[in-house]
Order: sequence, then structure tokens, then C-alpha cells
Amino acid sequence: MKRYLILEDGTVFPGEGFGSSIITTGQLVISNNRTGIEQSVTDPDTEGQILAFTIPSVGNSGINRDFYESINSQCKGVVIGSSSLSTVDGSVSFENWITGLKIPGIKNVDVRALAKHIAEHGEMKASIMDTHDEHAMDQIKALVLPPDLVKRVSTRQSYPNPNMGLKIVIVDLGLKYSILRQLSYRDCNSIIVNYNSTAEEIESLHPDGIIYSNGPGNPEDLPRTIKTIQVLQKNYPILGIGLGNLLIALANDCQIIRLKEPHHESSLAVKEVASGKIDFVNHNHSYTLDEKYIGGSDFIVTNVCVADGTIEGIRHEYLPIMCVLFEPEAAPGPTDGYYVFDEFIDLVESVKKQEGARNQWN
Amino acid sequence: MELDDVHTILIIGPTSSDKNVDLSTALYDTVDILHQLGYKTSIIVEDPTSLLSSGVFYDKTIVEKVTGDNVLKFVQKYHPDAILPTVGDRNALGIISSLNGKIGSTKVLGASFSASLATFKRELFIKKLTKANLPVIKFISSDDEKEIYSFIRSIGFPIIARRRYSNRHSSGWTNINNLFELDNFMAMEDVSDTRIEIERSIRGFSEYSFTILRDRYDNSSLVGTIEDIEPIGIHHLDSNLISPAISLNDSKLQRLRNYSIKLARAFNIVGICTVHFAYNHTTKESYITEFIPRLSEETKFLEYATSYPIATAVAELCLGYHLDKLQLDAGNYFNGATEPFVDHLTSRFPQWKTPGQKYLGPSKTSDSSIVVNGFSLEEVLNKGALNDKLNNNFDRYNELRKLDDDELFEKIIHPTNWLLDVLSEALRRKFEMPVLSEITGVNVPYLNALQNIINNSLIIREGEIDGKNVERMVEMGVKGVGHSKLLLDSPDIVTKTVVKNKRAVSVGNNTYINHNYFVTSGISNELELSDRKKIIVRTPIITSKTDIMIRQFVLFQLAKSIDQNGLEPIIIGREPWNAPLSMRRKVVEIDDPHMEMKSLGLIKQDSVLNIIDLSKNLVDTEDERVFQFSAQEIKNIELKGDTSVRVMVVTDGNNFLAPSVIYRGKRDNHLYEISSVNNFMTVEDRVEISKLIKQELEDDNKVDIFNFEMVKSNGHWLVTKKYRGMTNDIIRHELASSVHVIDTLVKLLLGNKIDDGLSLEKVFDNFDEKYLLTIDDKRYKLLDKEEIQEKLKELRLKEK
Repeated sequence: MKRYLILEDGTVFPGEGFGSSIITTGQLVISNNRTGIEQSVTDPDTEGQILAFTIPSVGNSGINRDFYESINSQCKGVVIGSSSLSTVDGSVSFENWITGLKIPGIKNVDVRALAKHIAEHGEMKASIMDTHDEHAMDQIKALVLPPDLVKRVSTRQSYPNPNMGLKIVIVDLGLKYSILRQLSYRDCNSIIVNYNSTAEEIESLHPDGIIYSNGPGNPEDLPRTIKTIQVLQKNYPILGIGLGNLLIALANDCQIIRLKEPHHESSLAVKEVASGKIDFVNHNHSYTLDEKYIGGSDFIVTNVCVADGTIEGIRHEYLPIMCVLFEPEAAPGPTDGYYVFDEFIDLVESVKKQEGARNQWN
Repeated sequence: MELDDVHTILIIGPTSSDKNVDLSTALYDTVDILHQLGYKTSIIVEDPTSLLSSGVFYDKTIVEKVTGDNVLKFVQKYHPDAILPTVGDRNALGIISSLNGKIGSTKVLGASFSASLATFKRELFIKKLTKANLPVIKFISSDDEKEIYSFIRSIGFPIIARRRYSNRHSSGWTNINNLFELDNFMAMEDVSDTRIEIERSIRGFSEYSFTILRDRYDNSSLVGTIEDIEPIGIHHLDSNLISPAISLNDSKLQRLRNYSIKLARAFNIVGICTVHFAYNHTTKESYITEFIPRLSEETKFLEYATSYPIATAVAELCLGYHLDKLQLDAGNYFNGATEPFVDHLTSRFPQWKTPGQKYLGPSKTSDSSIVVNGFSLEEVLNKGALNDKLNNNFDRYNELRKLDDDELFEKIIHPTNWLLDVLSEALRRKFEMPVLSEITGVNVPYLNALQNIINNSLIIREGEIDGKNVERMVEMGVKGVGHSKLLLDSPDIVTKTVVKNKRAVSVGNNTYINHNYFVTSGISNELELSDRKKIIVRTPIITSKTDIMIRQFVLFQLAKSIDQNGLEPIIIGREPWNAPLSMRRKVVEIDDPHMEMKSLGLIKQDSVLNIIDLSKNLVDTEDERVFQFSAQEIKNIELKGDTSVRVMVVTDGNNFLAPSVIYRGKRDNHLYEISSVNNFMTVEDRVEISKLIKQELEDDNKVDIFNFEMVKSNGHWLVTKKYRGMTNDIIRHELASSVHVIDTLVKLLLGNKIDDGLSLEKVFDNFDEKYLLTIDDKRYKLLDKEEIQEKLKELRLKEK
């Protein structure tokens, strides 16, 4: 069935529909992930987004449920060039999988032209529709994207991911399961809480450390979470990932900016400023920190993107706070960033030791 | 920072053999960047063609057989600071492993001694990988039955086994799937006479290759991945290759990536390393089958596929440069720390010189390859392996149709280079896909792509074309089955066929932009041309390594000359040209497997000054702008003599120049060729040869190139051969002559004229200082003025 991807600025990309036949609208994001379709489609970061994959022959490698990053799909639509009709491991085909998830899709789209258009004009709203008349245009222009994306994806109730090691409270802003997987590898006893949990609620769990997770949307839409960070950061080691990083920065008088060329790519190099070490990691963010404000804050830049110099990691000079904008848990992408979790565990343990020594003195 | 103590480098070049892959561009790029970065380079090479075309950037070329002895001799005489073996082929690594302990303080860059040795010695390879906890196929060589059985218990079935006899010969490998077969194998001969070698069978596993770059600070990047359509057991370069590897999901891809990096670290390889894997998608087993710590056919293919300047980057990494601070040319930095992501598929399809079916196995049999690009599997298959214009698939189809099912099944079991045609025929006959996949080891998505092509091709063959289907076919690249015109006549299709840039897409990834394009389908064109007037060069399909060398050379000279004369060179061909990096940024190159560019009308006709066609047969003889460059024989007289000359002549229609004369003498059963001897010709020879040329060109009044062969008989020259256009001699002429024939031709095509009444001195003018001597077509030597005079004197003395 002929369908159309219509952009907010009126540009139309024809293609062939598959998956659900409903009309869908969302923020159009170009994903340069070379693998990990399952992770991308189920990543809570993609809540409210229509994902356009630039990878050719989508789905050839098969669909694996073990790679899900949340229980359900999160994105509102998928756009692809070509897809593979079957999979190398005999699993369900990409198109059947998308149909099963009840997501609308559109294929045989000139994704290269689409990506180029977005690179020139910036990220914008888009719709997958059956027609491309004026009425359709009006519809998409009138639509306002919801500002409560984090609310939609964050857990409503706290839940544990029990283990025998350090107790880590994860503030769920759109948590990817792979962060939990990494903490489980390191024996962490995690508790996942709602994004709006108060400082008192979190403190009552007696965490050894706190993680502010990745998530969708604009961090400025979450003033309460920012306030909570300002309280907690004085007493606990904190790791911020993605959206979590941006919130921690805002809680400390830094400013954020929208990237001219957003980072949605599963393997992009970051450099550790101190050592010059280069790691390839997954990036999935449209915002970054404004360099101008870092100098005046108590943060130092620890990682930068090699390709465009974007700040990708910061650390507090006095407090045990470390943040990365990239996704150290990979999923998808190279596993070079796993060390971030090790460093955080080290940080938590050293704070614990210091506290233990202080308690002994006192 | 880069290595402080390296200033002079000996580069071990590739050997000259038709079976080798062509590394001439990699060699050129390597020497070019080293020169620009201020290193002094010497090169030992058997065929210096690619280098001599721009002989300004190396300090010493030793045209010798590339052997350990010759390398050692050079090292002992000149004491270079370092040896770089990464541009040589497998032979270079063999040489390095033989030099251990013999070269004093001279460093080896890129591949270490142990890495080089491990590419030859299987035991060392297994030992090193096992120690590094990397997956390697377990292997045993023993005459102890107990030990053998115990080993098999630890690895399980299936296995392959063979006997190694005391005379070092061995039996062929036997597949053994269970204990019963093993007992039979063991009972066949007395074990005590022979050793038995056993390893885990990986028959039918999928093959992948991962290429990583690594700097001396232990930063690594995965620069490209390739998968084979055919399974392990068929030589990688006889297989149809796809890049990037699309059948690996994220965890598989990352696992193999991590293994590759770990392997490079284990051998401390700085520069480049390609690692081959066998992967079983059912059991998820993976094994490293080999690694290549040098530039190779894979890296050449990945340069096509990703546009990443691999050869240049490797040279710099070997010298200690940081991965994120590499230079395209001196001072022009680029970020090498990128894992190039391409949004399209690039495929390499092997080609054989002779038609007919060839059985495929572990040894390479193909002669060359075709590279195509597309956005889907169907598209690249249709442009490459199933492109009737390249492979005569229609004839194959007709032949295979005649087979009965049993005969066809036989062909499925014993794979040939027709495998994809055989599988297509099997699918037409409704053979079951999982069964075909199980038997051939070809993964189901490829079979599904073939099925998809069949479903659409059948419709077009029956003439049932509707608009919708045609559009789908264009998306799938179905045009090579004799229906191009049919498709192009449909206005919908013209708008659906577009030209896209062959670039990697990534954040900030615009530092090594090139102008390489491919014809595909879509809604928008990306072809960007300058305002300059253009000369289009049309290139033919190449099927042998010698032809590749000539094509590389001629295209490079043409493009350089067109650019230097202020015009824009546009190269259009059925397969991409592997241009040196410095040229890649200047030339517009369009891969056009179905020759559709003309119909697309994307290049304004009035902006095209000339079309230089390198094919044998012209398609548009009526277009006056078309200049046929390849040779057409005009005269051929059977007259042999021991002394002859070959003269290349360029004419503007009135006057001519003969900037290069090759002297050829047969003495004492050896054939000597010296180029160019213009400066040493006697006045009598000049007068006589010039007179002969004038006679031969009397009826020609257009810009052209001619090649003459003249034999000396009874003290006089006679024209025995005459060709219009370029013969294979072009390389020798261009190398020999400081007046470049190709450049002169371009100038004449632009309307320049040769002055009237030039003196003979001027007609044969040449300013050479180095001369090339070839003995028996194999040994090259570069001579200076005095040496050549002496050699000529000696040869003339012996003249009968």
C-alpha cells in the first residue's frame, strides 16, 4: 500500500506502508545505528519519535527479544529504505515483527534524501499517512508534541533488581534495561524509582550511589527532578547518563543547547580528555552542554566527541558526581564504554571507605 | 607523537604476479603521504608502474625481485631506520619473519615479527590465540590414538581429519561426523606410520572479515566489515562479498569486533589488521580462521565501500601518529577515529577471464572483480552477480534450464562460480529454501533476495509490465537483463533513477569527502558538478590484473591531465576506479553498471567538450566528441628483425610529435627494451623514421594517437605494425617519456596545435634523465644517461 512520510515543512517522501495502518505523528529522528533495531525500537529514549533508519537491508540479522530495552516498543513509527524478507537466524522478519508490535512503518523511502533534508533543516515533526493533501498538512502543523515524555516512560512504582553488592538507586527517566544488565554484572543491588521521587523518598532507601538514567525529551521540562538533584548531590555519589547528565548540569548552573547535528549513532568516537584514549560508543542525544557555562561551574570536561568536539562527559571537581552524555551501556554499539560503570562503582566504594574512616574517627 | 628516530624507510612492495591482488594504488598512496610528511623512502618492487607515473616522491626505487636476500642486502648497505611491509603482499610478511635478528637496529613497522610469522605457522597462530583467550579452531597432530580420541572427546563432532606422511605429503581432508566414521578412518591405515591431523569442522559456517586500525597508543577502530555470500570452504576472494556485514546482530558484531581488537593487541599490530571469522548462526560458535596484518584486497574493497583513506591512514599509524590526528596530505588533518557507517551496500563479485563453470574451493581461481553499490541486496545482486551484461546470465539461465532436477542438484552440492544462477534456477523449480541453505551454506536472506528477483524478473520477461512493478524493479536494480531500454523509456523510471554519492554518513564525517557516485534509485540526485567544462572518460570492464594496471595508470594520467588543463574529469564506468587519494578529491567518478548515465541527462551536454572512450567497441560513433582511445589495428606485416623500435605518435591532423621511442633488441637469446631512446637516436634514424610516419599519416586529418612498430632490415626501417589509439605500450611510453603522451593528447583535443615546420629535434623532443631497461619482459632497471648510452652502444655493436 502506498503511504507517505510527510514532514512538518511540507516535504513529502513516498514509500510503501507496512506494519500497522494507523496514521501516526511524532518527532522524526534519523538513526545512524548500524545494528540493534530491537534496542532502538524499544529504547524509552525514542518515546514519541518516528525513527528513520539509514541502515540498508534492515532486519537481515534477525530479531532477538533478549535485546529489548523495555517491555514494549516505544517509538511511534519506523521509516526504512530496504528491508530483508527473512532473517539469518530464522527469527521473525523485521516487517512481521513491526506488524506484531502494531507500529506503522514505511519502506522504500529515499532515506538518504530524508537524512540530508533533516541535516539541513533540523529535526522536525512528521507523519506517516495515506494521503498527502492539504488536510494532512494542516493536521501535522496543528499537532503539538507532548512535553511529558519522561512521565510516559518512567516507572510508576519503585521496583528492585536485587543482588548482593552496592545499593544503587536508579531514577528512571526512561531507563534502558542494559543499564540494569551492567549493574547486575557488577552485583549491584538496584532499586528503580519514579523520576519525580523526592529527595526524602530516595534517601529513605539508603543508597550507596544514585544513577540518573537516560530518557527522552527536553530536560528543561523537568524542574522538580532538577531540584531533587540539588539536594541529593551533596550527600551521594551520582552518575548521570544522557538526559540524567543534562539534568545534573542544569542543577549546577550550566546551560544546555540543541545540537545542530544531533548524535543518533551506535558507534561514534569519544576521547577521554585526560589520557587521550579513544572509545567508540553509542550516542543518542539531541542536546549537549553549552561550553560557555562549564568554565564558571565546578565541573571539568572529561570526554569530548572526536568528530565535532561536543562535550560528552563531565565530572564535579569536589563532589562525587560523574556524568556522560553518551550511552556507556552500548545496546546497540561497541562495548568500549562499559568502563564508566566500573569507574562509578569505584567512586561509590571510595566514598563509602572515606565515610567509614570518618565514622571511625568520630 | 610520531616515532622520533625514523627518517628513512624501506617499503617492501608487492610481487608481480597475475594471481596477486592489485595493491598499486595502496602503494602510491603510502609513498605519497610518506613523502609529504618528510620521510625519505626507498621501495623495493617488481613492477614500478604505479609509482613511476609520478616519480617525484620517492628517493630510491629498487626494481628487483622482492626477496628476503634483496631486502637484507639493501638494509646492510643503506641502513634504513625502518622497514614497512604493509604494502607488500603475503610475501612481504614472509620476508619480515625471515629477517628476525638480522637487521640490527632497523625497525619493522606495522606487522611485528611474531605477527608475520603467525600468518604462516599454524601452531604459533593457535598458541598465541589460545593464550589470548581468543576462539581458534583446536588442532591436533599426533600418532597416538589415545591422544587423538581424547582430543576429539574434548571438541566433539563434526571434525575433519587427514594423514600426514613421513615424506611431508598429506592426504586430503575427510569429513567425519560421528564415532563410527572416525573408527573407520582410523582403521584405514596403521597409525604408527603417519601422523593424524584433526581439527573441528567448520564446513558451512558463514565467513566474515573485520578490518581494524590501531595506533601505537592502543586506540582501535573498526574500519569495515565484510560478509561472504558463500560459506567457509570457498576462497574469500572467489566468493561474492557484501560490505557492511548485514547479517550480524549487535551482540554478534560487537563480539567479533572485540575479538579483532584483542587479536591486534595480542600481536601488538600497529596499523591495520583484517581478521577472518567463521560463524555458525545456529550454534553461535565463532572461530578466528586467519588474520592479515597488512593492506590487502579487503582493505582495497573497504576503501571503495567506505571512502575512508585506509592506505594513507595505515602509513601514518605505523609511524606513530594518533588515530584522531591523521593527515590527508601534509597539514590537512582529518579525524581518523571513526568507524565509517555507510547507508548502502557495496558488493564485490569475482570475475573469471574465461567463460564456463569453475569449481570453487579453498584456492583462489578468479582473475578480477567487479564492485557495485546499491541500497538493497536485490539491487547489488542485479547489478553485479546477476548482471547479464557482465556475466552472460541469460546464457547461463538457458543452459541450466536444460538440466533435469538431479543434474541441477549435483550443481548445488558441488559449488561453481555459477552458484547464484544455479540457486535461482532451483528456486524457480520450487526447491525448498531451508534445504538449499542447509546444503550450500548460503544464508536464507540471500535466497529470499534471489526469489524476490525471480518473482519480478519473470513478470518482465513475459512482458506484463505495469507502472507499479516497473518502479519496484528499478528499486531492485533490475535492468541488466536486456530490458534497459524498456525501463528507461518509462518516464516514471527516469525520475526514479538517480545518482547518489558513495560516502559514509556520520556526525562530522565530512573531512575526507570525495566525488564518487553510483547510479541507483531514489527521489533526489546528489551529483554535484563544477562550472568547469568537462571531459568524460568512459571505462570498460576489466578482467585481468595486467589490464587493471593499465587501466589504473591510464585513468590516473588522463584525470590528472584533464584537471591540470583546467577541465573537470568525469569518469563513468561499469565498475569503480580505484583512484589514488590525491586524485579522488579532484575527479568525479560515477559507477554505472547498466550504463544509464546518458539517459539521465544529469550532465549538461554543452558542458562536455570531449568523451574519451576506453572500450573496444564504440556505441555512439555518430557523436563527434567521442574519441576512441583503445587500439585498432590498421597494419600488420609479418616481418621479424632483431632490432626494432616502437614509436608513439600524437597528431593534431597536420603535424605530429613522437615524444617516445622504445628501442627493442634481441641479442644472445635475450630481449632488451629501452625507453625512451629519443635523445640517443642518430640523425639518419630521425630522418628516416619521421619520413615513414609522415607517409603513414598522410590521409589522417584529426587529432589522434598512433603506435608504430618499425623493424630494421638491411640498414633501413620498415613499418610493420600500425595501430590507431592506445596500445598496452602506453605505460612504457608514459613512464619513459618526460613529454607525456596522454597530456599532449588532451591538449590537442582542447584545440591546441602542434607548430608547423618543427625541427626533427623538436618532433622527437624528450628531456628524460632516467631510462627504463627491461630484459625479457620481466626484469626492470632504471638507468641514468651514461648507463643507457653504454647499454645502447653495446646492443648496437651486436646489431647484425
